[in-house]
Amino acid sequence: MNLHLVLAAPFVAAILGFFLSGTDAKSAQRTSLVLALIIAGISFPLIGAGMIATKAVTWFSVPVVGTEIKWLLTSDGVSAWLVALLAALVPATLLAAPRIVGDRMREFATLVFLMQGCMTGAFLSGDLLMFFGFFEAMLIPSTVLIALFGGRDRRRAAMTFLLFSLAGSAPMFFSIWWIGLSCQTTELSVVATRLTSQLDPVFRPWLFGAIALAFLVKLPVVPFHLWQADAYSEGPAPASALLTGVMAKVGLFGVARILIPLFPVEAARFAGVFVAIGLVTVLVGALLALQQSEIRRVLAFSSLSHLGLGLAALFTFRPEAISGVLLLMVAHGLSAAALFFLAGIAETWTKSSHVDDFGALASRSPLFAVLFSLAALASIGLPGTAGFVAELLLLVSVFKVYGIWVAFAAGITLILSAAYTLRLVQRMLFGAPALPSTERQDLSVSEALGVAPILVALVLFGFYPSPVLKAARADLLTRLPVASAVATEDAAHVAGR
Amino acid sequence: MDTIPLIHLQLLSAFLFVAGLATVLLRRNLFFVLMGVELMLNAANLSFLAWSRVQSGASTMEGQVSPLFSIAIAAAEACVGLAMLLAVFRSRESLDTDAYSRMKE
Amino acid sequence: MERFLWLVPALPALGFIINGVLSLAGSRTANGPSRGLSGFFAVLFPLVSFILVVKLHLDLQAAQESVRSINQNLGLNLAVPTSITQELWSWIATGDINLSFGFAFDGLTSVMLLFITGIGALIHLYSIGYMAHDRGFARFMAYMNLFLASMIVLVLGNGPVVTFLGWEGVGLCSYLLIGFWHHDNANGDAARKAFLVNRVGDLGFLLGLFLLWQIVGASTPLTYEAISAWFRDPANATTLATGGVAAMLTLATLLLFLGCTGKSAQIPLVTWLPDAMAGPTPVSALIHAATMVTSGVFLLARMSDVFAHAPITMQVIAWVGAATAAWAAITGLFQNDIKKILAYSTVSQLGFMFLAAGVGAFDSGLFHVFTHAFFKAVLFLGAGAVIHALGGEQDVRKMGGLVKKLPLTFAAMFAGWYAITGLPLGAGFWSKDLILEKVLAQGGPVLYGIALATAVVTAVYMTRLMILTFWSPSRVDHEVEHHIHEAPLSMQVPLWILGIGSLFAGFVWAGMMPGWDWFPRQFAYVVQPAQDLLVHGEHHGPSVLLLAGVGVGAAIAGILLAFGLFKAGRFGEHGTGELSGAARAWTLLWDHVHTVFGIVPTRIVSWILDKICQPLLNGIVRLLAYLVELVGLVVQWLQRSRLRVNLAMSVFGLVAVLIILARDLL
Repeated sequence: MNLHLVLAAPFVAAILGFFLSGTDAKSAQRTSLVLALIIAGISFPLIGAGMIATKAVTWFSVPVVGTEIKWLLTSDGVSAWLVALLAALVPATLLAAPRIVGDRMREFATLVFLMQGCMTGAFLSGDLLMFFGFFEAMLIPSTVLIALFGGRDRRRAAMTFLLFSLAGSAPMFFSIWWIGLSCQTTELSVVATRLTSQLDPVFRPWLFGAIALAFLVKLPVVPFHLWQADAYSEGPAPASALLTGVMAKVGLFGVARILIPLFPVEAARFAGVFVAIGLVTVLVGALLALQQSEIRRVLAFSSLSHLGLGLAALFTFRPEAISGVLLLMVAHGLSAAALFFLAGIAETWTKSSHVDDFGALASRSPLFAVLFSLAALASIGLPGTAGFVAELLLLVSVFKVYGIWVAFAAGITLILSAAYTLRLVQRMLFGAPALPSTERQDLSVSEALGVAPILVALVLFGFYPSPVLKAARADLLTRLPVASAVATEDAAHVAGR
Repeated sequence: MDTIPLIHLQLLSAFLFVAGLATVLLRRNLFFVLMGVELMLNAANLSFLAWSRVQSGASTMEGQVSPLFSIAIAAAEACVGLAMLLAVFRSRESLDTDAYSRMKE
Repeated sequence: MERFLWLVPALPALGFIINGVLSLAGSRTANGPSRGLSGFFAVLFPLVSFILVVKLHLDLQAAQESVRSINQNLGLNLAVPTSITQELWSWIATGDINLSFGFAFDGLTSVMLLFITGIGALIHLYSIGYMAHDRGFARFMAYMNLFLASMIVLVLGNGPVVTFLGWEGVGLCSYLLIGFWHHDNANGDAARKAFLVNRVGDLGFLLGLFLLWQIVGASTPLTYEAISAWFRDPANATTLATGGVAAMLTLATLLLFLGCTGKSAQIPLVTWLPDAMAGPTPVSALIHAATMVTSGVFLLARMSDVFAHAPITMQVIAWVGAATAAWAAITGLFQNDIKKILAYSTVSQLGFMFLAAGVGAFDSGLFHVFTHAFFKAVLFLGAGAVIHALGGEQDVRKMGGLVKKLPLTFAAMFAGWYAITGLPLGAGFWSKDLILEKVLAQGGPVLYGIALATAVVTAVYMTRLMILTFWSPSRVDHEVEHHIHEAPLSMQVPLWILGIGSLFAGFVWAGMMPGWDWFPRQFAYVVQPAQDLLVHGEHHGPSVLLLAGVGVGAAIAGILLAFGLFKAGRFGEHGTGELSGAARAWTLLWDHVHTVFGIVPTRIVSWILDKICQPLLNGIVRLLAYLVELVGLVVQWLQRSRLRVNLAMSVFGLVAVLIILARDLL
């Protein structure tokens, strides 16, 4: 499996995107959709590929100090699933976009591909500095997407998003620089082995904190969540879907893949703090969602709440938690994205994002209502959907380490999430129509085709989550894909054939 | 023949430089500012020449050639500077440097 | 046969999918999808499920019989098969957790499934007639099928987590069905309330399960069979006796019981059920009578081995059951909406079941579940027929005299009334007397007194319902009166069958007649060990016949009292308007408790977070931004004007650099 191909494909698509028709949005959508499906076709086989890595090439070495920066792509179960999730959501994004972006489909598709490329890079990077490069680069297309296609207050939202992210990741750069100086390399698997011996234990908590900050802002958690609701509600809905569906996962992925493996001692030492932050996020997010009256702000705080639980569970270091977090990332990525897609489409009908301007969509737009309520039910973790299995595993792991009362606090989110989600469903789908309109508006076939597979996948993983659960190996938190180890696995793979 | 000690020449050069700098910083009249700049240049020239006398070998010439360059450049600078000064004075009716805070307007 | 076990829930699920697609496909047509097609599928699949369950039941019995006869004939001691199981696939397997998705069919399941699928199929048939003129016919049928599928999964699951799938599934369906007429926001609110209140219970269920799992250890698979075996194993008795584990078990069982109170509408999670009356009538019947609300009692019986080891929890269950029974019965006296009377009556009867379970008579509780399924279904369906006949009127104060206009419906309702009041030989007579007997023997005179008083009140409000609806002079609006008609055949047939059931279903366990105990024998091996653990030795109380006499006396007293009150004009049948005063406060008692302890604090905290904390945090961030901006302004000011200032600064900088360099040189 060629990881370079997986990484290059979205960038190539972005370059090809410049040659799409700037005037004919339909044709631009068709072509970009084909490109997105090709990328998905390239990316999905990663899931079955297991632990793989490319040969590490020296990208450049820092003069004077001699630190070697490697160009190295690695993939294990977790990154493979996240790349696949991303590759699955991009076509749906393109299908859901036309009503929102109008004539500027070409620009939209190009930016989405760029974003996809950067995120894929972040998931596959085997080198800290490389990871940082992609981690920062993804800000550019996403900020432009918000600023270009967003709502009334889009400029401010884009700026807030950008500034928060930059402020969060600047300390991480410092931390990476320090690690590079001390370890003579930034290759993840090597750093993981050298870090404890090469770094002064006095400084390690600070470096740990600096990296953690970047991920906590990206996730985000309370109190770094202020950018989120603005960005998600002002940005174009399909882009918000990608932001919450995948980009927020980069934060969790970073915690699981980089922060904890590099700093196991500090992670264990400060685990209580992170669990507390996670739980506060869970509850505050849910309580804030209860107060919102704009659809996408409800969804934004709901994302905040769900991913907070993931953070809390990761710091229990239980094997169930790791599988659960991966499943949570997949489940939440799918359900939140579906909700954002649908919310964006509905907003074009009423030209409003306020829940009071909706109502009675169940009778006026039955197809929309069915898909929306299914996505909502998946998002509250109804048994039979992937979200349930994920939340069950996360709650179990929190329970096992911190006992019944902490599990109870985390579990309150089950009630609160039902409360705000069903409130949203009722206000949008049921009751009397807010605006008198006899016109029947419903999803177009292509929009429905974009969302329906997502929901099918959610139900499928609800009853048969094993493929996802197995991908998150129990030793994930300590083991990183190494080029040499991978070579033998590849050989075994070939021999197996 | 007694030579003037190096230190005396350097002190004079330093005095001239500080005098020029003070003129540049303290006088608001652009005319005096230009004169201060000339003074600073010439202070540097003097320093060059003084050093070249105590040096021996090939570097002696460098000490003597540098002032020639700087005199030529100073002459050119004075030309351009005075021409600009005239142009600015025509548009602003003032030689006060503090009045020139917005040159692009 | 065990290979087809999965078909029992899968068939109604298939019906759900077919009807769901039909509903969606037909949503653009003028009349909606074909009712015939939709109704056919909707009834067919539950019916096939029912037949399958009967077949499975007979198979299980035959297998048990054959092993028993082999044992007898050959003097062997082979293990009698207790269940038919099927493991479908590994569901959640990671870390310590290894859950399989599978079903187990044993005696308890078979009894539950027989009436769930049987009565369920009848209610489906009834809804064809009842919903015939509704635009959302296919959608309704889809929800009903999904409900049945979830309920079957709940009962058939091989472990608590699979049960939980059905547990939340029925919660979802009740949400969908209560909010079925979704154009009215009040229905949506009621639906949401049902879901949320149930979710509170569900959280209790999950947390209780976690604790239980911690007690039995990660090596014990989370199936009912393994859990029961663990608790029955004498080797674990010492573990259970230690203080920490005992306390944990008490907490675990209390939390599980909280789940039961949510699903079965017991105090304190009782409030959703009366509001759930917003849904169409067959929903009420299905939710209340046959299925959903009884799942709490089912779970208690299913986990009887666990609960039997937690005496404090058993006490709590008994008292909660008694309190709910009494509270709901009294509330039932004040109601004017025919469906609400029946709803509170259901809550009250459920209290009886929990009371029975709480004193350690799980089988008697289940017996009441069984008989109640018949008579409450017939009462609800009969009430539906009345409402149907009156064009949607639900207020008993605007009924009356219907005995002449709706004789068939009356006959069925009469059977239900006869059974629920506990008049001799009706279904409720057997089960209620059994419970009263067990409560006196195992729970003491106080609980018995409460239960007996509740039985009297039950007879009063049920007789009031019958008087106001059928026997009293007509108060029906004249316009409506002309259109009164008997329900169509598809509604009548279920009524007759269930009416006959209400009269005779009790004979499956006629306690006074030896040998008439088909019912408890079916699942004795599930609950008997727990019951034996709780009850030590024979109890010598008053004779069974005397107690039965007291029970019947209570019923007759209640009926006579009701007639007396009617004569005295105390039923307020000529009044109008809503409930008021003490009656209203009493009815809404638990709603107020929820509001004060749940809703208001949540609202306050979330308001504070949104309106105070969020702006405060925003302000801090803004402040930081302004500070940066301020520094920027200063720097900008320095950069812009003042040629001489700039020059001076560069000179200053130069000198500073020189000094630093010079210091290094020296």
